[in-house]
Amino acid sequence: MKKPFIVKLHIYVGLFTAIYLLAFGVSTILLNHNVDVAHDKIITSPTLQQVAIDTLLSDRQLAETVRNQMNLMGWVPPWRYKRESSHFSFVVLHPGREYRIRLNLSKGDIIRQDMPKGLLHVFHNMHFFNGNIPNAPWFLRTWAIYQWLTLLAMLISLFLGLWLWINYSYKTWEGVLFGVIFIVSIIIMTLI
Amino acid sequence: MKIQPQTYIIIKKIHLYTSLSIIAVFLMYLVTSFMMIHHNSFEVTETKTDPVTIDVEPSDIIGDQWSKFLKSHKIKGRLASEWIADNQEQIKRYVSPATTWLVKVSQDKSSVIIERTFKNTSGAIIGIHRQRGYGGTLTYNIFALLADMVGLSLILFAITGIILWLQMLNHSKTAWIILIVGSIYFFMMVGYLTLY
Repeated sequence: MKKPFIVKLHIYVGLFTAIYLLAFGVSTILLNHNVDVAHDKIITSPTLQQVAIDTLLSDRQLAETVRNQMNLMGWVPPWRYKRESSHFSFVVLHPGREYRIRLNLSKGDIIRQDMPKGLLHVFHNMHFFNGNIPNAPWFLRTWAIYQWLTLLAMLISLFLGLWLWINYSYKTWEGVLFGVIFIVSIIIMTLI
Repeated sequence: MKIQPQTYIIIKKIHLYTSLSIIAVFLMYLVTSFMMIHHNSFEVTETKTDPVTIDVEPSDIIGDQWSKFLKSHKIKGRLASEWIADNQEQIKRYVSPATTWLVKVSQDKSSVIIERTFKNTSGAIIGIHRQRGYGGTLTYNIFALLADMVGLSLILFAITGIILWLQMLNHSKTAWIILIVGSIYFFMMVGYLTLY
């Protein structure tokens, strides 16, 4: 293979992953230092909503039914369910927002509070996002394809870069130094 | 904007060395990310063992004795969290990629209950990906340092890569299209999730 072709290919796949790599880099550091970037600002919705409810449903079924009737996007984590005598509270979550829902079990009235998490929180949460959120529009699901292609592109970019290094700029001391770092990293990952 | 040849060489070296220094950890993250995306094929299962109750003297688990206690009971993980339960038990959660230990110290410090939860092979491999933070033994601190190096290297790697591209191939329409379309797609997703 010719060098210019390999260089071009390395650049193209690298550019495809560049923004994602930046996001991963930032979120890896945030995770490692346990930094919470959500700004937790509550916006209480001024209007009440009303839904049809079936009191025979389990907590999970009830939370999902209400979420679907309200046409909200997100998961309904079971550890956030709270059932009282006349009310049922739960949250609907996705990387950018938390909806706090309080349902009157006898009337079907709902009080909803929206908690946007902010741009930085979403940027950070793309680390975990796989495109699969209940009630998400179709284009969010394409993220799974992008994510898969990005992994493939990173791998291709890495091997093309190694090929260019070994064939055109390899120095013995670099090989020894980075070889040692490679082996030490493997040992550390095995020991933890 | 053209940069000086000497600066170009330095940027190229940063691009090369940041990638070479993290290859092993980066490959681990790539493989485990693939396993997490395809979690149906790499199912994670956990097995909880019966709790073991150990009678102790308070002096056996205070100060420096605590690390000896952990060592003698083969608790190798890193302290991930600790809290006081409603019954005033002091609970410490130690985590390694393959195992989680819940260590419950009674209020009068006369007994310690140890609960172990083991993961299967997939869970243990993915557990390396999920390890984070400083603290614990030297090995865990070195791994945390490696994780920071990966984060920093990814940022430097991407930025220097874009600079090198602008010097070499900035007239290439294909390259611009790839960067712009990729960026628009990424920020469209981020924007939608932020607003809705």
